[in-house]
Amino acid sequence: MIGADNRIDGVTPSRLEVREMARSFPAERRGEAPGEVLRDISLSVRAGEFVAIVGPSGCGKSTLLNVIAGLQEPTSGYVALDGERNARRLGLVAYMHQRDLLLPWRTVLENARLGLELQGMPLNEANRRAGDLTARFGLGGVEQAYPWRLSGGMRQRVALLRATLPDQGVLLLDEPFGALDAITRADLQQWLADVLDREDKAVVLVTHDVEEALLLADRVLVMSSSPGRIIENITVDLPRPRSSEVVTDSRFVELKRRLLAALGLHRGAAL
Amino acid sequence: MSILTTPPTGSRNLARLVGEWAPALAIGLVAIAIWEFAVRIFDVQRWLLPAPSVIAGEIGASWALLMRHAAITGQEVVIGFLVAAVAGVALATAITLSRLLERSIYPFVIASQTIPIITIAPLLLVWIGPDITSKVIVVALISFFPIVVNLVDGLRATDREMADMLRTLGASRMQVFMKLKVPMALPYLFSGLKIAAVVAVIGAVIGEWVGAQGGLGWLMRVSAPQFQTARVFASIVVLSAMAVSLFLVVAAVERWALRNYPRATGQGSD
Repeated sequence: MIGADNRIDGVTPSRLEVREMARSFPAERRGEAPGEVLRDISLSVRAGEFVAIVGPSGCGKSTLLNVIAGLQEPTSGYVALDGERNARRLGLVAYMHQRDLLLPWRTVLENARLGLELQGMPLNEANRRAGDLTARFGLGGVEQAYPWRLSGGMRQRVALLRATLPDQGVLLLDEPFGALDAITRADLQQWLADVLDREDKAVVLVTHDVEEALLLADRVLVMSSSPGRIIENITVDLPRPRSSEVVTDSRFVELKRRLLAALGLHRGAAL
Repeated sequence: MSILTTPPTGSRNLARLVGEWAPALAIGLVAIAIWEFAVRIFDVQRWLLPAPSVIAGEIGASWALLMRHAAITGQEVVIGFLVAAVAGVALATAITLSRLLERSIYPFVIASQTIPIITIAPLLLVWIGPDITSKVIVVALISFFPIVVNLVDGLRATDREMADMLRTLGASRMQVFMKLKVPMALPYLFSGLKIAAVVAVIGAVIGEWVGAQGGLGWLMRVSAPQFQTARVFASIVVLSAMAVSLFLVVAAVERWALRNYPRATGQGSD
């Protein structure tokens, strides 16, 4: 079943494991039923593995990421990092949002180094570590620029650099390219595939874009809404990193058909 | 946030600066001209309403006197303003960090503003005496409020998602405060400080009006009953110049402190 992958080798625990996790919010008024957002979520992601989660709007995808990141706690079940259950996760899980959330009074470099700075690393060393990676992130030459001078795509690159610099083992991406135009998005998807291919992270991508999921992920989980549950686990057996031409590959088309079918059966109001 | 402006860079902005100020300058000159001619044409008595030229003459003739009293008022304004700034920042920080303080003290801070300062000034005179201390307290009391209210608003205005982003990077509560809330609140603080700079001068005059040994407020108070109306106006001109100067100093510090902040317009450039 879903999440059983970590028992294949039987020794190394998954980088990230979520087991029978549920999350509900207390009733707002007396007598009302509590709001159930997530039910019986189980998934596991190994180091170097890229898992995408697709589902209709309001299926609780963002809540799932918030729980994994440690911003919220599960109502039942658990989240484990490297086999450690319900440990403190804040600071251990990198999280990149749809909004770039860059601090406008800081330069690109000062934004990128934020995680290192918060860990207490001396500023000149943090600057050096961030500066070493700007070229690879397509940010060479704009290190001293302020975010409000950059394009949306550039700002997302800074946000990803900031998220990855502290070298956390798990990276969560919440529709990271959702606010960008189609051309910039395609460009950044390609670039992200290349950058992450050299990393050893467990990546969880939440998206509403089926092609994005198939382009980037090793596995795609499909969620249904109210309450959010995982209803399908599709392995993308195409070699990574994939170029944009893969969308015409017959295997890709077949997987896309399967995904859309899974979504269609449980389609919410909007996708 | 209209308070976010970029500093002028280089001399090519000098022309723009002149352009910006030209309309205000023109209106001022026209108003002074109308005043001057009206007083002359209708032959208004000098003790009733002196012409601008008479006021200018009075400023020249009484320059030493005006400056002596301006020094006293200026001292009260600057000390009172600084006391209000330090106390205001401290209280706003405490209110933001502690829910208990917010619920217990903040309502009284707001309620205290419903007490007219003109009723407190004579009490301070009785309690503390006619020296500079009672005026400094009046100035501090009147300047304190806009600083606290603006800074509390600013510290509360924090973007929730940004705070969460910092927490996922491992930030402690104090780090979220220092790295996010404080920089986010700075423009609000400067709004408060600019209002405080202007009302500080009003506070000093009120303090001197109810009883003092010197200062421009005192000078106006003793000049008016003697029908030295030109001297009253001369004092007002000097007071205005003082308030505008303090405002411009705060605005200059603001421009420096917020030099890296985005402009009010043109945010984001896709």
